[in-house]
Amino acid sequence: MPASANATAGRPMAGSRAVAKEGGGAKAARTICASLAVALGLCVLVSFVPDNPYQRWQLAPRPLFQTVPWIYERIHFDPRPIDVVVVGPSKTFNGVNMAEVERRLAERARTVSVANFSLPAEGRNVNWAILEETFKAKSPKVIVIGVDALSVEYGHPAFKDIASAEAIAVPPAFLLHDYFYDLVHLPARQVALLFARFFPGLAGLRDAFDPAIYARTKSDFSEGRYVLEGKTIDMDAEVPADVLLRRPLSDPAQATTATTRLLMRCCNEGDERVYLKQIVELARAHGARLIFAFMPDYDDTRPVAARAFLSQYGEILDNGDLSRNSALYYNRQHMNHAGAVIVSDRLAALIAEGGPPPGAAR
Amino acid sequence: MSFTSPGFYLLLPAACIVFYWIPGRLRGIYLLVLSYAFYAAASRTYLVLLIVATATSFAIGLGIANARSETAKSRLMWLGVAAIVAMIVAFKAAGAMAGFLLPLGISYYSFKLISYLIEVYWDDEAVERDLVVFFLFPAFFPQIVSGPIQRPEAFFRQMREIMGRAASDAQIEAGFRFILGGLMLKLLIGDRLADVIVIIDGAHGDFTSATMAATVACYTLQLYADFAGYTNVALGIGKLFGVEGPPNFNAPFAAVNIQEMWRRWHMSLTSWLTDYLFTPLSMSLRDMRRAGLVLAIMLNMAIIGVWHGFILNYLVFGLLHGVFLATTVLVLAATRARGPVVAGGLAGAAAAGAGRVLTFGLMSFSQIFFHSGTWDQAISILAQVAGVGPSGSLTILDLGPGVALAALVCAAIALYVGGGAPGARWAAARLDGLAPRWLQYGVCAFLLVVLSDAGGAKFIYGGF
Amino acid sequence: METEEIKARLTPIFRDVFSDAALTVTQSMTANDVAKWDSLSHINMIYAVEKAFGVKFSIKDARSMKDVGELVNLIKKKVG
Repeated sequence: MPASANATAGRPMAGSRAVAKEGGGAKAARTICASLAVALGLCVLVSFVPDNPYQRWQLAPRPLFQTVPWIYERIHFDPRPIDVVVVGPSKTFNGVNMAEVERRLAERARTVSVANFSLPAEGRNVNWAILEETFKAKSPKVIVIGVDALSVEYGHPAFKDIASAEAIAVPPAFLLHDYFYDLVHLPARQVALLFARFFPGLAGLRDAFDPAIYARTKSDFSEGRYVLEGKTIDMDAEVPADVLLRRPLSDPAQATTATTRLLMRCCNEGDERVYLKQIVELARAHGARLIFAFMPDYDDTRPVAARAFLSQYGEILDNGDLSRNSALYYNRQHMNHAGAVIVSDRLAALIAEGGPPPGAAR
Repeated sequence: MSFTSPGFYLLLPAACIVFYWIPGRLRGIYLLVLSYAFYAAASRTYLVLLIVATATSFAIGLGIANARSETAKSRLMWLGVAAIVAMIVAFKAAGAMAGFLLPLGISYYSFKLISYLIEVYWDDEAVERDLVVFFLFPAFFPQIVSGPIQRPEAFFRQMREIMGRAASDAQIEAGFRFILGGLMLKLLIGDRLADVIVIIDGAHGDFTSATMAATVACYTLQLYADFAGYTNVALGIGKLFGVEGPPNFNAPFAAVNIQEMWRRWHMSLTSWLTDYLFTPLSMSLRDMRRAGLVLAIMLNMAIIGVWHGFILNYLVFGLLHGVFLATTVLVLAATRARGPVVAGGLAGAAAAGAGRVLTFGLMSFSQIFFHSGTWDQAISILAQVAGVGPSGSLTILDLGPGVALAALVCAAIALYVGGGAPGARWAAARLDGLAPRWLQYGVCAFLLVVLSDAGGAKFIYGGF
Repeated sequence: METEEIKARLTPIFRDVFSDAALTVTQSMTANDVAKWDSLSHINMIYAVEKAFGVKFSIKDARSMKDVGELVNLIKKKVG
């Protein structure tokens, strides 16, 4: 006799309409559509809210992208010039030693400031975003772009954090791989940045430059021992060849998806080319020279991807011969300190010969 | 396909539109196809298991209804129930020992099927002969992932109704509102609390005893926000298709004792156990008087515990509540014997308040076991909260002022909503006067987009 | 046994089990009508009725009673 709660579930509540209203659902559909329109409108509106780029560049997830704020500070708060800027994926993040390039160029009586703005993870769009920011305050004469055997046709995970609202909402081509993913994060990001403008302490995004923090931020990951994402990486260790070979080569199937390939047939040329062309435009507008540094996997016979395409725009520094030397790698994909030194030396040599000399009196 | 993934909400409107566009008599089979497709997206192998379990229950139900003798009915019912229980036990045991994932929704659909068999046994009229309606019952996709556990009669009746009637504006709008509200509670409150809790749990030895006590209180609040939010989403999706499901929560933090709390927390599960386990069991044990009652309570609560998993922590959680409940029941019975208690005025309010705090405290205490991944972690946190274990000196403020503030706000909201949201109805009426509903919903949807972590929200109860 | 006699004997049992000294037993009374009538006190009531009338109810019986009227009918059937 005690009625359990469930026995009455489903019965219309006493007092409300006993018969379901014959509305056909149209009115409800209108209400729902209106609500979604309001939500969309508010999202669009809030995406226009201007932000503080310094705070925006602190949004990139750490510890993996811990150098992003440092990059911004190097551009805007460090009085030293930037003559050579390096962008690219983790291969150049580990594979180019700034001090070594500067040293080799100094030997050739060139005083040159080198900044390695590479980031872990792949995606050409963030390289362009970083270069665009660089040219706002500095005038590098040489741009080095890390390339390898695969064309990665999707965007970088930190692009949605770093790039300006405009760059995200109005990209240079239709339906790029990460367009909707980046766009969906935009309203939330602008709201967070708006909050951070007024409450930087609570948001954890500083709005004032702190030279002490800048000085102790690690910026060169091509040497020594450090911890990244919980893993200890020793750039000076000797890793035997058979250990290196346990990991497979970077897989072309992971550089693109079926959807992307479909879109590339009809709508855009793929992230790699679209943003490389954007970088080329930037370089031309500022009279900068382009060097493509080819960073092969260990024991990989594949050549640099799209050699003919790249040659139109700049010189290719082909490090393919280093692929056979196991002493130069700490894992299948990434060179160690020894490898970085060789790549840096070659870069310096290439920069020194040919092209307008960087660092010369203006 | 998760109820918190954006992709799901791109498909849902299309599914609804088709549902209301096709002729009414096809709605049942359409929902069945939809539900099986939903399940297959998670696991095709276990879909076979679901279908086999459903078919078996269907056949046994028919057998019970058609059987002439009481003995035959009884035997068939026990056969069916035993088979389903054996299935759940096998998977849960394997899950506990080998650690593999249970088939989606097995704890929920098994209970639905068991309740059907018992209902048919108690009343032949409860048998369902329509294949589509019956097969849809355990598989109905809004309720399969994490409940609520609906009763057969309510579901069958509504299925027949929706095949005949047109869409209801009020119900569809209510569905949308429930989904919005549920997502807000789960993603904006529950998940944010979970983020902080995970950080503190990971290094709980570094935090002060007081901070751990506050964190333990947050276990309860986070679980409520997470599960109540999720249930509302599930109920809302059901409403979009014309199905009203049973509620799972009714202001649990307003309960003045543990007995009342269990009538307000995870209601579809506890009422199921009351009707199909506790009541029959306590009837059988009634000659043992108090001892029988206590035994029935302990067994009932132990099963609530291990329903979540065959892990010591869950068993202890259940047994603790068995002790709390038995104590409460015996104390209440004893005080009732001395004459009815008149609880008026300030003294009454103070007693109720104290009761609520005590109840919340007991629930949170048991949450130490429910929430902790391992026995050792549970014991070490317990020791810390009691002040006898090693503690550190960090507090929540050390995680950053923003984090502490966000956690405080979320905890307060969870407590408010879970406490029955006093004053909310009045405020909502005022708000309806100021802004039309679609504007209110729009702002809520906007808040959902900008304040939640787009992508990847884990849901605790989906793992059972 | 007559309905009225059964109802008269049920009254003190109900008043005791449900802690309501003023309770009046009617044919249509259900658990919804009595504040303290929940699943626990229901068991107590069943037990007390069984002891008072010397009968035994099965679980099916206990479930099938929709109101006091049906309880009375059950008691009549069992007592004779």
